[in-house]
Amino acid sequence: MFTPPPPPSPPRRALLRGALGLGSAAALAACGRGSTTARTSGAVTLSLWTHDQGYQDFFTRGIPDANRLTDFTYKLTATRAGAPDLVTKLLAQAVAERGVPDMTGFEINAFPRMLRGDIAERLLYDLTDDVAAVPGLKEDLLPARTAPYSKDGKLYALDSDTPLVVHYYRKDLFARYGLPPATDTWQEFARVGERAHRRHGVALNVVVTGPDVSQVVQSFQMLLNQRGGALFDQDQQLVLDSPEAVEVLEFICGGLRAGFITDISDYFGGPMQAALQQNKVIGVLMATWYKVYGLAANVPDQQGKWRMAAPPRFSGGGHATSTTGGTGFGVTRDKANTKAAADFLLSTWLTHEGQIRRFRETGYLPTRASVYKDPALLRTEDKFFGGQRPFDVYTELLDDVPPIYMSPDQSILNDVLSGCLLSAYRGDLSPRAAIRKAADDFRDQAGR
Amino acid sequence: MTSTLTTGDTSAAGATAGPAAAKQRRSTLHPYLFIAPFYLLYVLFMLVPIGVALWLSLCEWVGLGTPHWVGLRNYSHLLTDSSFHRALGNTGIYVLVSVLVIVPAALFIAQAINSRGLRARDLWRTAYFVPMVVSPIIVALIFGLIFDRQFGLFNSLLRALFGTGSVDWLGDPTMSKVAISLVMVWRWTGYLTIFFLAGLQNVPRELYEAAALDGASRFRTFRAVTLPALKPVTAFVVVTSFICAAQVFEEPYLLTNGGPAEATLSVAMFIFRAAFERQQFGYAAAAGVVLFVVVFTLSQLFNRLLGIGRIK
Amino acid sequence: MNVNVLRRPLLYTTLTALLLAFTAPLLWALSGSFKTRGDIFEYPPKLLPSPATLDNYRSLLTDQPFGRWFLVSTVVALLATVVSVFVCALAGYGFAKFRFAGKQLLFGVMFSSLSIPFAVILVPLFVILVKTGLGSPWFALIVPWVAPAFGIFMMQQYIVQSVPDEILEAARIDGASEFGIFRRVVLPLLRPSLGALGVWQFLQSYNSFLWPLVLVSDSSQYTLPLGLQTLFRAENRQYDLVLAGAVLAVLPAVLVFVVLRKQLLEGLSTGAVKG
Repeated sequence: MFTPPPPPSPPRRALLRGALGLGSAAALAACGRGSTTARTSGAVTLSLWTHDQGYQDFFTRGIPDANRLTDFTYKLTATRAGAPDLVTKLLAQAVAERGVPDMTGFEINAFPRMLRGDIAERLLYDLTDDVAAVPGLKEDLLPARTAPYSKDGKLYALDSDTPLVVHYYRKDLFARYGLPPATDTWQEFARVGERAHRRHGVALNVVVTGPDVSQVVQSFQMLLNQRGGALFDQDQQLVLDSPEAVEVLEFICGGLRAGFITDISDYFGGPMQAALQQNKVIGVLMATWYKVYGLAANVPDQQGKWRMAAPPRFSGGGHATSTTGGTGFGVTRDKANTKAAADFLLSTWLTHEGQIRRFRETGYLPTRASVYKDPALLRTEDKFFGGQRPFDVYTELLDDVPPIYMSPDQSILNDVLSGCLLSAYRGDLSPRAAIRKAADDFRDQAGR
Repeated sequence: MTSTLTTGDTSAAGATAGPAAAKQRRSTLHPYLFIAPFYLLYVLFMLVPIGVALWLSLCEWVGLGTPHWVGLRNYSHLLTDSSFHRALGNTGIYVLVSVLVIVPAALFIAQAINSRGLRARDLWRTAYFVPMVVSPIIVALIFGLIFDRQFGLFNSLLRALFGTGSVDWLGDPTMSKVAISLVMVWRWTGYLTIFFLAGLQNVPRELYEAAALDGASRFRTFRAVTLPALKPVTAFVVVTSFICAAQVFEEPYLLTNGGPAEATLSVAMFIFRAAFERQQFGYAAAAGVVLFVVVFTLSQLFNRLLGIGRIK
Repeated sequence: MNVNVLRRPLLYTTLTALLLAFTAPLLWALSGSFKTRGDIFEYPPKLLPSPATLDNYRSLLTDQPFGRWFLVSTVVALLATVVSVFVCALAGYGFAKFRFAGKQLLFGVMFSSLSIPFAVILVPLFVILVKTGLGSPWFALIVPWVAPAFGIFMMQQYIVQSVPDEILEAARIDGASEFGIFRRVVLPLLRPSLGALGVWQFLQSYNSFLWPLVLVSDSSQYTLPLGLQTLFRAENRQYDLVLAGAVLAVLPAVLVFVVLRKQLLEGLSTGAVKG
């Protein structure tokens, strides 16, 4: 238990700024806003909503840090629900004007609903000023991870992760089958994969074809973004209908036909586990967090057999990698605890030590560029990857990560695009026709 | 699943009760008091929400702030929304499956359980009813795992029996409808069987004996004796299945999320999706009103035709 | 008799096949709940778990608030059952044994409420309840659902058949009040069908999913279906725990059903059939 400390002589907020800043940033005077009813110090109990136990644990362990760095003494109560259900419940409580949490974790696919109309603006606290108040912090945050949670220049949530897409592969089986552990281009990957499938019946990557439409889109979007394409642009306009999208879809369809890409119903569920267990899938293109939630959760006994590598590149252009997933934590505005929650979030989520601790506890990568230079992190070895140093791969990729932009109509696009992707996978539609149909159907439905 | 019926027989029973009760009635207020709790709840939690739904269907509302009036725009959008048409079409299929597959299957099973001298009758009818007892989320979870294309039990069985089994139960537009229908059959057949069974047990034995004396075949006996006697039960079961299938939600929501490509989307899911996934509450309300009008009109029509739900 | 010799084996084979079809998915879940996560999907599938493990149950009960979900579900279902059985019996009695102006219309309105799809009132009902401050699960999961038209109809049918007018008249001559007659004379006669309605209502409430999904936001008030849904939708898909949870959740429902099946199965069909 932490007893409330005596009134601090230098405002603790200065401590927080110090901890957040780069090295010895001077503490700025004068706190910002703060209405009369808002708590500005003392004991508070924050309510936190999240879909994942990992975040709950992280924040709970962060209480001592937050107590030290801010004027508050914190307690935390957490509520868990499925990621999409959280937003439903949040909006429901907002309609009821009661029971809204102080802090909510928005899984990135669930967040776009907050962008509809003025929901985000009405409900969420704009963190821009808090970030700007710390010299150098704004520039240090990776723009690829603030873009998805920003609207009209306002920042509504802070991401948990920089979920770089990497290629996981089974080192033991790659060696046994004589496959090169890293290939430079997807073209080469296809050649290698085709041979591997023909000789050994294995797949080097998966795409999801199950009922979870956002996962179906995810399989495609990872590659699309890497190729330099996108679903939406910065102004929330659909830009799916592009040569890049057709090229990526052609690549996946070709992979499915040749067998080096296999379809699976779900990245996390039983079938994936069975495919891994039975050595049918010996490579996966997925985000950095997939090691914890996909591989280690499903096949813990394959520890040491896996490695990761930078994904191959598209010879036609694009980026070194892309990102997929992430969870932005936002603070509810105009509540008594708003300031306390914002301070808590910044003092656990954004400090150098907090970002390192987050990586150690949850496997989520820092969202501040400077943290990637931390020598301790760089030296970290991962047992699951047989002692490989993951940051060797991460730092190589970090400079070339495209941002992702969201639209409030994301869920409509997920519905129509997933259907068209599946048709193309099955061969019912050509890749070009599938992309065009998805764009047309989206424009037809999004106007309603 | 709910519902019931009265037939001409019941109104006769009601009529005999009527005069006696009327003679002794001391205050005209009492019957109203007895039905008042129901009506209070009915007005508060049924009629008022329907009124609100009607109003909301004429508005645009994201869930927060004030709804703003758009007149009939939501309805005109529904007219041209291919998703909604697909949802209506799929729901129509679910209704047909339940009326044309589940109801006859239930009747067939009831016939089998009603066979004279059958042992362990209680075991059969209890076991068949069990699926109805299980929560839909559990049903969906189990069947989701069973239907998996590569690793599910279903395809494993097919592979063991026929050497080939790669049916994409949940990923193929046609097979996913079949999968949803199979789950509906699994859940509801045993439930409906109970009603047919009770109906069969009420058919006077003499009728069968008379038919046997006439040397009627099994099939003729079924048509001439069983079916007419079962008419009231059948009417009840058909209307019940119709209403339930028209608002099916859990199976597609939990099993396929309406996919692939909306191939299993039902109207109830369409409403849920518009309201709680897309923040289009006005649009959802309008779709709800359409569903209400269709289901209500058709079931009133059935009730009228089959003589259900009246009282003297 | 000749025909029977041929038909019997066919009959029993059919019934057994159906029995397997109806129970196999549940038995598969039961067996899976004792398997380690790695074995649930092994090929070819094994009927019996080997090695069998209680880990799924252990971590479900220690790491998850399963007991709480269970408690909430059970208490909500029991309260809803008690109240609804009473309301339905009242209204059923009113419709069965009295003659009054507007009876036909009122009965028709009651009956037609069966064909109002829940999806229609989902959004407005939710908004109304939360706006009026009645959104607490203990109210909103119970009260709006305690007057199902099905139950009233069932009661009305049963009372018409099994409560003779003479008893009511005798009681009235003795000077009993109308409500007293209902409580002391009618209710005891209804016991079997009250049991049936009770089981039916309990299962409806215990298994309901969509309404709690929309309504309940505090995870300490989750019902069983919501808790299991949360486990399954978590990022690492804890289907091993969910299978164990499913088994534990189904048990009370199946128990209630098996113990009271005679009443339920016969009661359910009263209204529909005997007429």
